[in-house]
Amino acid sequence: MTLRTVSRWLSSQAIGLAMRVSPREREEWAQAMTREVDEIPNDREALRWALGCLQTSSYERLKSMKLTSWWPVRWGMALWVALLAVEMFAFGSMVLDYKLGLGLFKLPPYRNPMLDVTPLWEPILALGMGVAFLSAIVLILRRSRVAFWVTVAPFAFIPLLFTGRLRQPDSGMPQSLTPLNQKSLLGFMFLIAGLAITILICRALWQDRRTSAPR
Amino acid sequence: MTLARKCSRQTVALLAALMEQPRTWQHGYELSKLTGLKSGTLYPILMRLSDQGLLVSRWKDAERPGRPPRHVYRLTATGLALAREQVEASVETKLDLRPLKAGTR
Repeated sequence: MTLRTVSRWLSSQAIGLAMRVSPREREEWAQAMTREVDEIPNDREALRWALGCLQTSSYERLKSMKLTSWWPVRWGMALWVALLAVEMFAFGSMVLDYKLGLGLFKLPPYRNPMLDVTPLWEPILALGMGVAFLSAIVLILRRSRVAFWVTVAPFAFIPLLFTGRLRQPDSGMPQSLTPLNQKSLLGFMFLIAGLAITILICRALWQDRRTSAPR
Repeated sequence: MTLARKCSRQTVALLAALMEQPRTWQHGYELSKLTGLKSGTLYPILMRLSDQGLLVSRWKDAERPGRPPRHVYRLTATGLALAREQVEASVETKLDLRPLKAGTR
C-alpha cells in the first residue's frame, strides 16, 4: 500500500465518520464539505480537508446536544412543576374548603383571621394556576414549543396575589416577606433555591422554545 | 440600516472573498484557497452566515461529468452590506486580509 493510497483511505474514513457524526439538521452541510474532497488534487491537502470536516461535524454535534434533551433532566423539570401544581392545588382547595365550609379536609372548627380576609378569588385563581402547571408537565414531557408559555403564565398572576394580600394589613403578608421574619435562615435559603430552580427551568424551556420540536 | 457587528478576522476575510465577485457562486474549496482558511474554520463560518441570512447556498452540477453536485455560496443583499461595512472597517484598522497562513488561524 503506497503513501498515496493510505492518505486517500484515511480521507475517506474521516469523511465517512464526519457524515455519521454530523447532526441531522447539518446533514446538507456535511455533504457539502465532504464532496469537496474529490476536487482536491493533492492527497495530503485532501486529508487535511477531511479532518477539518470531521472537526466541524463533531463541533456541530456537540452544539446540537442539549442537556434538556436528556430524559432524566426533562423528568426532573416536570417533577418540579408537579410540586408547584400540588402546592397550588393544596392551597386552593384548603382555602376554598375553609371559606365555603365544605368540610372536605375535616379541619378543626377554628377561625383563621388570615383566611377570613382572603378573598374568594384567590383560591379559585390558585386552582387555575394548578391546572396550568399540570398542562405544563404534559407539554414539557412532550417537548412542546409552548411548554415555556404554559409554565410561565401562572407566574403572571402571582403579583396579583401579592397585591391582594398587601392591601390587607391584617394578613401579615408584608411582615412575612422580610428575611428577618423567616423562622430560620435555612428556610429562607430554601425559598431562594426554589426560586432559582424555577428560573433555571423557565430559562431552559425558553431556549427549547426556539429549537425543539415535538417528537 | 446599520449592521453594527464585530466579526472575527477569519469572517472578514471570507466576507471579503465573497464580496470580490458578489454575483458569482463560489465553491467551498475555492473560498478556502482564496482566504487560506482550513475546512474546519471555513464551514462553521459559512453555516453561521447562512443561519443569519447573510449567505445563500445551493447545489450546482459539477463541471466534470460523473461527479456529484457541489455546494456553492453567494452573499445576500444584507450579507453584501455587512461585507462592505466590515471590509471598510478592516481597512481603517489596517487588518491584514491576505490569505491566512498556517499558525495565524
